[in-house]
Amino acid sequence: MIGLSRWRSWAAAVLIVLVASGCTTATPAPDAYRARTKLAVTDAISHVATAQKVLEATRKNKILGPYALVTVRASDETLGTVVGAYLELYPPQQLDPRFTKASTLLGDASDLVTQTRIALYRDDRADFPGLIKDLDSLSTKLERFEKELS
Amino acid sequence: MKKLFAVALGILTAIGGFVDIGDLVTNAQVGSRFGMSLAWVVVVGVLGICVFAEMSGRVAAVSGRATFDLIRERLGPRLGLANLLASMTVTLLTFVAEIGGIALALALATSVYEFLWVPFTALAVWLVLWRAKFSLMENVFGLLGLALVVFAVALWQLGPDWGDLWHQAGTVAKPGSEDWSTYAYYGVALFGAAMTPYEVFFFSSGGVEEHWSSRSIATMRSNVFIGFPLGGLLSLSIAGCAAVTLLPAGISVDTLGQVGLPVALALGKIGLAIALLGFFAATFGAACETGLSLGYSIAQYFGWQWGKYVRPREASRFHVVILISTVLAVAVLLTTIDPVLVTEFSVVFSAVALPLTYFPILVVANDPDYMGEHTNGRLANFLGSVYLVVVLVASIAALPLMIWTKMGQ
Repeated sequence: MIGLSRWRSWAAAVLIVLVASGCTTATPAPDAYRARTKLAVTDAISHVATAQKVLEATRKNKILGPYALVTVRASDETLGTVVGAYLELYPPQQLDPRFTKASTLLGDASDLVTQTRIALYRDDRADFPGLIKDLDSLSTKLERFEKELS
Repeated sequence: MKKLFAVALGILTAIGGFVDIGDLVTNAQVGSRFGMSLAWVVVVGVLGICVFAEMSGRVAAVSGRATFDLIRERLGPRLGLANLLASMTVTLLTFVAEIGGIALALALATSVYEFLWVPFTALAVWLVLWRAKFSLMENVFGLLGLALVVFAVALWQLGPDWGDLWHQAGTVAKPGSEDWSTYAYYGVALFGAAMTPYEVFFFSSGGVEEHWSSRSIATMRSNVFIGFPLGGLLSLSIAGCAAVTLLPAGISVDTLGQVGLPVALALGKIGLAIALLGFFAATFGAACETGLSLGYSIAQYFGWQWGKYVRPREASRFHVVILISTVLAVAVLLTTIDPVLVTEFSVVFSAVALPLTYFPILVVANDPDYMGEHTNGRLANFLGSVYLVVVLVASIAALPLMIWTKMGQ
């Protein structure tokens, strides 16, 4: 009877561990982690470039105000989701430096696109040249990092 | 003169009505990631839709009955039901995407969140389907859809290297950063967007609504063989704009706002306003077509009175189907699902459902009991058979590619 009870306890413990492990964020294998990083960086490049194009078009008075705002708002929301999902991952230990760099760049991208959205909403035209320069510089860094990941 | 006007109007509305949310999004996505290297798929898709639209239009003109009406009678209730379920699912998904597309276009014009627009746009679509005359609805949105010609003007204004674009279009190649599986996935999605099943149902049922007869076949053919390819050129110009502007900047299209960005860069505010009008007309027109197609399919299968050529009271069940579909579409969109994501699903599932839609049309168009002297000739049968093989391949490949590439990631 004692043996059966112990077996049940073990089975329950194993079940709890299995269920709990299913509820946590996985640590992907290094290759899968690199692929996820590259995907997140590629998405960031796309949304940073979108914000830059919209801002340039606004500065040249080539785009309708609501259109510019909605386009950057959508980029901001999508990028926020992408960065959030990436940061939830647990990087393999050997890739810690890459994770640090990726999370810094992705965080910068998300912040800058948010700033762009706010500047467009407030129509802070004085901020546009500085933001365009920052977006351009961040694009270059992201593209360089994307090449490192390839 | 009156006939010439009717032909010209038919061609213009066919061009303007060709592009819907699936074409807008998929062509821009493909252009921004693969340049013009998938242009051949648009050409293959447009030829395919011409082949089957001509057949279904001819069936409607000769028999005076629409496709679903005959499919059940000719192939039996079981195959008819399979056809109904497959096409209904895809058409409902497309209807949801189109209503979402209208809301997105209005959000871009006003900066009010798209989800707030959803109930109003759905109500407007339903009111048009309930009250407006068929010809008025078709002509107004078809003609307004011509605003999308602004993409062709923008492409010309952007001054691309035409030789390079031609080279891309003539080569089956992909950028180094993309996989062949992703290339194939977008090829299938583009094909599904060009050959959407609802187009033939709407076309043939529309023929019955407009009382086509054998004498209408020449006009119908001019609409199909001139209007649809020119509509296909609009699709290519959307892809071209994305290839010239977005691809070099590393922008891959996720939102409708990104689709119109090249027009703003090339033509400024006026161009963008015209593009927005085009987005609105294309999605509203397609929402009406898909909404009607849902009513047509079910009513024709069950043998109910259908159509807008009779009073709503006389086709009450047909209108109830449209009303329920509209409420369903609103319910789906108010979950705050991204309409662009719904569009991506709808074009892939269109590809899955293609054989079930097009095989019965080929069978009915070959039946001399219905078609008499207008039964398919050798060329129509050859092209129809070739396309059945192509749609079968696309249908089988669509879901595995979607899963394998994680929807083109």
